Amino acid sequence: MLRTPRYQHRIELLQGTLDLLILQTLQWGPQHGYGISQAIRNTSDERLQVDTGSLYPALHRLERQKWIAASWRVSNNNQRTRVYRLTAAGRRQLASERSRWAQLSDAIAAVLNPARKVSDP
Amino acid sequence: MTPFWRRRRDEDLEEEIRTHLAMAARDRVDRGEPPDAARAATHREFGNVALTKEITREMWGWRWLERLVQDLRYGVRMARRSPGLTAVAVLSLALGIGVNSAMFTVVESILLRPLPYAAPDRLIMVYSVGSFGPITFRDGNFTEADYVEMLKLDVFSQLAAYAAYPAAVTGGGEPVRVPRTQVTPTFFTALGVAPALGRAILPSDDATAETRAAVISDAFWRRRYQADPRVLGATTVVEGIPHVIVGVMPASFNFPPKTELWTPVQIRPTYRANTSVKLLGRLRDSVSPPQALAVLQTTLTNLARARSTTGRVVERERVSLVDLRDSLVGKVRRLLLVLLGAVGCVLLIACTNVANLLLARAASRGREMAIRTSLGAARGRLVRQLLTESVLLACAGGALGLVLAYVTLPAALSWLPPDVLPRTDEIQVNGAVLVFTFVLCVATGLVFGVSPALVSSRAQTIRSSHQRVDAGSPRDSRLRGGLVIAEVALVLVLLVCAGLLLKSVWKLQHVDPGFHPDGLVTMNIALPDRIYRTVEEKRAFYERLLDRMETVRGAADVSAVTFLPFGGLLVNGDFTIEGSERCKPPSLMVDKPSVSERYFKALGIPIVRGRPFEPRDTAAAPLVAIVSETVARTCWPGEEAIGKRLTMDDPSKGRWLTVVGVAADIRQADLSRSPVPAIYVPMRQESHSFFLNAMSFVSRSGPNISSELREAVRELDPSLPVGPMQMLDDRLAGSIAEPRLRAAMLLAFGALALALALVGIHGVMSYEVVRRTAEIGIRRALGAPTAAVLRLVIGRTMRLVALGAAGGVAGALAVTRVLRTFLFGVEPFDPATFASVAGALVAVAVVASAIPARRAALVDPTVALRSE
Repeated sequence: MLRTPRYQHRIELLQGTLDLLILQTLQWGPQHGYGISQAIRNTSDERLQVDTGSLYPALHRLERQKWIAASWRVSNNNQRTRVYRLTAAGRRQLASERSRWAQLSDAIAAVLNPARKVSDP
Repeated sequence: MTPFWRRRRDEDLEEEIRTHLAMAARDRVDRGEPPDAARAATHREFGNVALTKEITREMWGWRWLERLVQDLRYGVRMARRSPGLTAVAVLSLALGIGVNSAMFTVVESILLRPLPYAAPDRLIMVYSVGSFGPITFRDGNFTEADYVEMLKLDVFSQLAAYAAYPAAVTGGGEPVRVPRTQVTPTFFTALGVAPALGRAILPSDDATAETRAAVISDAFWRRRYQADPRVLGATTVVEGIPHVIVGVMPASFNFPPKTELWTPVQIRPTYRANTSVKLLGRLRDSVSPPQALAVLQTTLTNLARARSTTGRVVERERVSLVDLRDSLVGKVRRLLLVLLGAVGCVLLIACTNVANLLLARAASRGREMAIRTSLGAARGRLVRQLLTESVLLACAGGALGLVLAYVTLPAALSWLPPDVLPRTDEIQVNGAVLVFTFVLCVATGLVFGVSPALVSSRAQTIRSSHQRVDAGSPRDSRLRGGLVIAEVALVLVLLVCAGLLLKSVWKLQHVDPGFHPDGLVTMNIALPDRIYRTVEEKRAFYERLLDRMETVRGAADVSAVTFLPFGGLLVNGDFTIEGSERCKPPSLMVDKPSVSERYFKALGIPIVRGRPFEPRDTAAAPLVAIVSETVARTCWPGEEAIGKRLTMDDPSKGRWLTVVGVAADIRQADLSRSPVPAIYVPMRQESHSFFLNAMSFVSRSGPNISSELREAVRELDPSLPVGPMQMLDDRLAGSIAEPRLRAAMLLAFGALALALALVGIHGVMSYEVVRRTAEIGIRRALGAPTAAVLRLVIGRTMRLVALGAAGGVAGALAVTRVLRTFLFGVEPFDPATFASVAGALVAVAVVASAIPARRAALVDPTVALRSE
């Protein structure tokens, strides 16, 4: 019930990109929450560290939107883990998120480097 | 405590996070960290587990429901912690919502609910609008020929004609007079209602046959035939004609209202002499009411043109179409809406009361709110929680109110005078009422909860838990004052309305009807034409009956009259005075009662000049008449009426009556209208069968001789039904039952509102005294006399009440005009009513604040100062 505004902001800030990162990670196969955070960390050469306070809300939200589905599995060392996998809808969402991200980063790059844009043609 | 549907998921989330932490820790251990340090580092990295869970749960999407459950549970706990306050609030609301539920039940059943017929919105009454001499009428009938013409039109899928007149039913039990309706076979098919037993009236049922068909009502079937299903095929005698019972209608069928017997009506395609039938049609789906109206209007105009209208024919100038439901309930719509408004005021007052209570509690909850704010609770969240509490209170009140309404409504309805409200048999609590009540509860909770919620949640963050938090700021004091003002204003509006209606009733009761109704028992006798065929036979029977009734012990001044004042029927006719074509100006319509000799004495109607009727005025003697003062004054201004001659027939017949007396004017049907002029003729000289068909008998005696009077009739003709014996003053009282009901209802609601408001004012003042205990203590310590302290409290009450009264007077001025049609002898802006209600209200309010004032005066300065 007691919620500090700080946390809320962080989720909102990360929401779009974190969703994209999660969906992208799950493209390579089902994974549990910890595995997803480790994968993002490793593939980004340790530059991106996912805040678990944002990861789980994001996972549960994506699950509610039916982009990912969860099931319980028993891991190698006999531990019950909740494993997420990409659904067909999630795959479509990933594609559209990716193209949107590409456009966004192009646009931001253009804004950040206006000189190049003018001299180009 | 977690809702059951959440527990599983909570456990899952718990495990998911536990696994995460375990795996992260193992990775660290694998990298060579010591287990304890690894666990601690993992936790640090993960952050606030509880918060993560909290936020994750939000993603599940039913948080609002959980919050609601949480708030409701908290609300219940708060309510239980202050049972006194809760009880007062719930009771106030139960009364406020209960009267609204009850009133809405009545409004829904009467005004809103569709009639219990097939596709009732296509059913319309076809009325004629026109004039009859100087009298114009709406909702008029048509002739049988009109009906036949209208049948040819294709605007109706069914068009029924009917005529409702009471009929004598004899044979197989006590002779009775019952409401009978003669109908065309299309009557039942138009309404789309089939009999519960047997069949309806069919086209093959001849209205002129020796033995005819009859359909009876469920009530009549149970009363007279003990609900025997073998009633079908039984023969009963209606107005001397044998009828075979062919059907029994279901209990829910009540049209025209109160009818117990339906028989075929005779339709003569060329009969135009009398407008005798009402028309009920079912519009074709393809025809709109305006289209139907246009077609019918054209038809009627053409009919009128084709017919040469001469003499005393009734002119039907226009057609009007009225939705069947409106034709039944239109008359009471305004009354019901006014009453609904009144109960709305009661509820607003209850709301104000509860708002005041909650405001007072807001002060004591200031600390709680301050602590919660300090802990980071958003104001919106607090407001929502407080509003949930209010709605919870309102729903508790509403549930109790609904029970109250359910229990008291039947009692209240049985107390209603008969025939004031239509469709009372259909009044019942149904789903619509439940929905209405629930919506009302939620709305009520929000209305009375919003200001206390805003005030409570405004409490500032506290810096230390010892800091004193006082929500009783001047702003709140003003708010409380405002609520008192609103309460007083609402009560004043209600009481002024009640006052105006009461004054109208009082005036009506003090209208002099022109006769003395007290101690007169009345009885109606109707003679069927089939048995008493001639005027002479009828007169002879009445004379014998009068003689026989004279012999009843305790009967005195026995007399007979055609149309008894306040007997429910008043027939006006015209007449001609000798020497001029008509009585001018304007051509006067008069009541034409035939009376026996002692009638004037029995009713105490003064004969102003001349003489009453005497035994010498026999059929063979010169024809005489007695005129009322209005007739004498209008027809022979400045001349002596006695000795003048007039006739009620065509002057060419030469039946001239000589005026032998002038009687005082009396009111015949309506105390609120001026007397109808009358020309009395001796019963023994009456030449028109119409004026002898039915007679009312009056006897100056107690009601205890009614069985003897009944016996007297039975002795002379055992087949004659005798209607219920009624005291004439009861009939008079009955004529003002509707105004009395209006006044009583508004007074009841006004009284309820006043009681609630007084409780409220007392509560606010008590609270203010408690809040100002310290201040009063200081004043006392500084030597303020008791009178000054009393003045302090009562003065504030007076100021608030005076402001409220001013607002109320303004409100009442705006509202009372809707009552205009209900008022008699009093203007909507009657200063006396306004002044007395306002004065009384101020006085009562002062009394209500006297108790807290006295408490204030008794404040002990030392105790008061210590209370800080």
